[in-house]
Amino acid sequence: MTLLSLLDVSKRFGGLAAVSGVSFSVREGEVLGLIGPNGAGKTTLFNLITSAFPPSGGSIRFRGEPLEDLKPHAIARRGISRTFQNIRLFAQMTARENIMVGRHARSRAGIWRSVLRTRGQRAEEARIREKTEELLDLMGLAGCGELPAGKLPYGHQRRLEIARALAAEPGLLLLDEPAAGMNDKETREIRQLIRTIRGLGVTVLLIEHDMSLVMKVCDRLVVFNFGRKIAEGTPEAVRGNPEVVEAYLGREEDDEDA
Amino acid sequence: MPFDWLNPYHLQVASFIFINILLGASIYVTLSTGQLSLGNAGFMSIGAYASAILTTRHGIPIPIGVLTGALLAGISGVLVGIPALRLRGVYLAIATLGFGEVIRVVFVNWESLTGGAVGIAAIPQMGRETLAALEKAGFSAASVGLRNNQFISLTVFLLLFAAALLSILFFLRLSSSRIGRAYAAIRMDEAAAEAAGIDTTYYKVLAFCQGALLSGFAGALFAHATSYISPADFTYHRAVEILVFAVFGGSEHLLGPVFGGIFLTLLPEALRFISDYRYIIYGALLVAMMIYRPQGVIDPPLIRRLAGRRAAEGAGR
Amino acid sequence: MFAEQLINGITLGSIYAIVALGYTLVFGVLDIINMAHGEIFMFGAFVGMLIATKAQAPLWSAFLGAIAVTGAMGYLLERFALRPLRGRPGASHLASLISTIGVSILLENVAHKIFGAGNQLFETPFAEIRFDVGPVTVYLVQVLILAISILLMAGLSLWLYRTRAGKALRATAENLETAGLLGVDTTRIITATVVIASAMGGVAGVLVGMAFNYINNQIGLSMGLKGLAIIIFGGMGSVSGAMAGGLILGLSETFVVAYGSSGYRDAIAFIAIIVVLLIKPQGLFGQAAPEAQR
Repeated sequence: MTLLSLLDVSKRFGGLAAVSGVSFSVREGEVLGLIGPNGAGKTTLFNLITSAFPPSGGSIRFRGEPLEDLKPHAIARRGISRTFQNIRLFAQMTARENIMVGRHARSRAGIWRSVLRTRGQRAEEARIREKTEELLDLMGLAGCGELPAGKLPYGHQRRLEIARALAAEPGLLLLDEPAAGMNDKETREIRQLIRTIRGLGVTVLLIEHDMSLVMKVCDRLVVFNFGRKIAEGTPEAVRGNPEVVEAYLGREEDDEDA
Repeated sequence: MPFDWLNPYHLQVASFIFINILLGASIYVTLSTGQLSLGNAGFMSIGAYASAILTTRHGIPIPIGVLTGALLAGISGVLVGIPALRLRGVYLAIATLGFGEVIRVVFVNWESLTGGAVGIAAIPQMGRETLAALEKAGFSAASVGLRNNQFISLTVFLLLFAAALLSILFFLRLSSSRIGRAYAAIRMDEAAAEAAGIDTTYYKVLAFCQGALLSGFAGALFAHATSYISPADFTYHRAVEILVFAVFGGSEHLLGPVFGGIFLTLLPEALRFISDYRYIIYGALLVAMMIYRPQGVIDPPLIRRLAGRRAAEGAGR
Repeated sequence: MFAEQLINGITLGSIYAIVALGYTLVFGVLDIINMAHGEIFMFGAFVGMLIATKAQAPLWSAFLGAIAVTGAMGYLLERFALRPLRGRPGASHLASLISTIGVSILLENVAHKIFGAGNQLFETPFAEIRFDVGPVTVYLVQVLILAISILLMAGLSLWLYRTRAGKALRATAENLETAGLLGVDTTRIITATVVIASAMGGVAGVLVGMAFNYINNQIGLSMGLKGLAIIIFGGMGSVSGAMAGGLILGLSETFVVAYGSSGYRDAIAFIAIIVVLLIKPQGLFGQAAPEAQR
């Protein structure tokens, strides 16, 4: 079943085409990897899906409904969460508070209910806290809850950002280079984590440069170069595609051994 | 008289503390979404003038006047807050400062409504009105051992105390709810907040509106505490004073402006014996403060430490 | 009379432009709004008054005195209220704003203590000298103000765009860190900028005294607010924006007072910036920030 579909999506910045005529779909329950050299337009694509800016052309549909006219927060409410390439946590908040913020889209209390602390509001807060503790445990962050997010070690920050995204119980999770800057051990943990996330029934769209991670964790790959899709298929099929090898894998073969 | 020590002047200073707490909190609320609004003197004047005109000229009871004034200021806050979304940082600060100045100049010039530069006098005073109403019911101040002026000042003090207490409780509770978390998230990283499902437009305008409403409320109370207002009460100096309450006290926690309001209202009083120099010292103190503790006196780590100590003491007992 | 109003407007506008340049220079280099600039300007006016009116000394010495005093104040401001905040973790842009507000409160009250609250006469021997060009009456003072302003602005532009120090300043304004890496002594440049900006404020103070013949301890505030409005109007950190904005404001104020209502004179500046900001949030001459990568 198709969860997200992109049809002929383009984005130009001034005269520069960052993404041109891209079409592919994400199936429910899979882990789909977006790969390609730096500047190929992968992060731009994330920004288009989450409506950080509007596409110049084409359409993006989530569960059959168009996303282009929605604001980013509305898209998050529909069930798409994301992380950022350069980690954007709320640095002065504690780790716990960061995850609680992530729960915003799944809670409803307004001004008066918040101030009067109605029964419904207290139940909702209790649920937020419960969910937050679950995620702290799941992400291996138990014990870090009261630390300011900005003071956490790098690897913990990455995982906290994923936890915050998961707090919204998304149907689709967009991960932008979750293993960037991590050592082998941490990368293995991320791999395990992505599998766990899929086990929760969350579909994952993954941008990643670490080829060993991508090859091991993704069901399918979409390959980009210069803002265009140049290949799509299973990791094995993509690995054998000569165009891909030339554009991308050929130059970075070493990554595979790393 | 048994309560001779109850000095109306001291009560008046104490009453102004509560108004200043409200004002400091008003700028804090907007700032807690990362928007620095220096227009709160303008919103304050809208609340003050609206309530003063309604009660003085049209015989509307004070509570209704105050609520109308606050509400009008809140509506103006929405009207200013929506275009303000386009502005950031110092641009927003100066534009809102400009809004306050424009409002003040309008009040100076719109003489038929506002009395111009002279202002509005003989505004019903909340203490005096309360006493008058009670006297009609057969009560007299002397029956509780107070002189009339003591009773009046005490009433003002208690009413303003209640207003400040309720407002601060309101916003403390708000700040520890999902709305407060949304505010903080927006202040720290707007794009990340939006991606986390927070409608940043709505919350930024809401915070602007709440800040304006609170200043308007403080302004209306001010009018009925002093019974005289003029445009001179709402100048640039007031705007800066409000800002200083929040920044000196601490702009990262609601208790910061509360502390700022208390301390900075008392400081000039305490420095009265060197009255000629007190604002010079006040200015120098601000500079020193920014050098040694730029986040203000009260910051979240301090609150956590104090709360932690209290919790530890509680556990020890 | 239209031509006379035009001359009045240009005279006033050139003073505004000089005040605004003081703000814009400091903002360009430090990203700080120097809220004490208006009060430094006021001290320039008072020093000029003491020298030209009280001591009856020649006008040029009033300018020199004002420059010396306000320049020194600029140095002290930078040394004790701005430098300690620089690069401190936790010191947001709010901190420097408050710090300069502290200095402005301090200076305003020092002035009040020394000079009192009332108006002080600022007399120059040639205040009444005027000549008729056809039907138009021109005062010598106006010519002088205009000449000095143009000289100052031309000098500043030359200095900024033709000299080594000026280039270093612009490099610093472009990027403080990079300029530091390239061997620019940024602390010296920053100090020089604040001193020059303050001295320009001092000159503007004397010009205002000459133009209006009286000064008081409130002129810093009203002039400061207008200067702020102008740099927002013209675009923060833009030298040409400050000059153009100053002229536009001077002219519009003069004409509104001449042909409309004087009551709203002090609101024009802010009404203008509110309108401008709504149309173009970076100000008339400001550069649009590139679309942020989110």
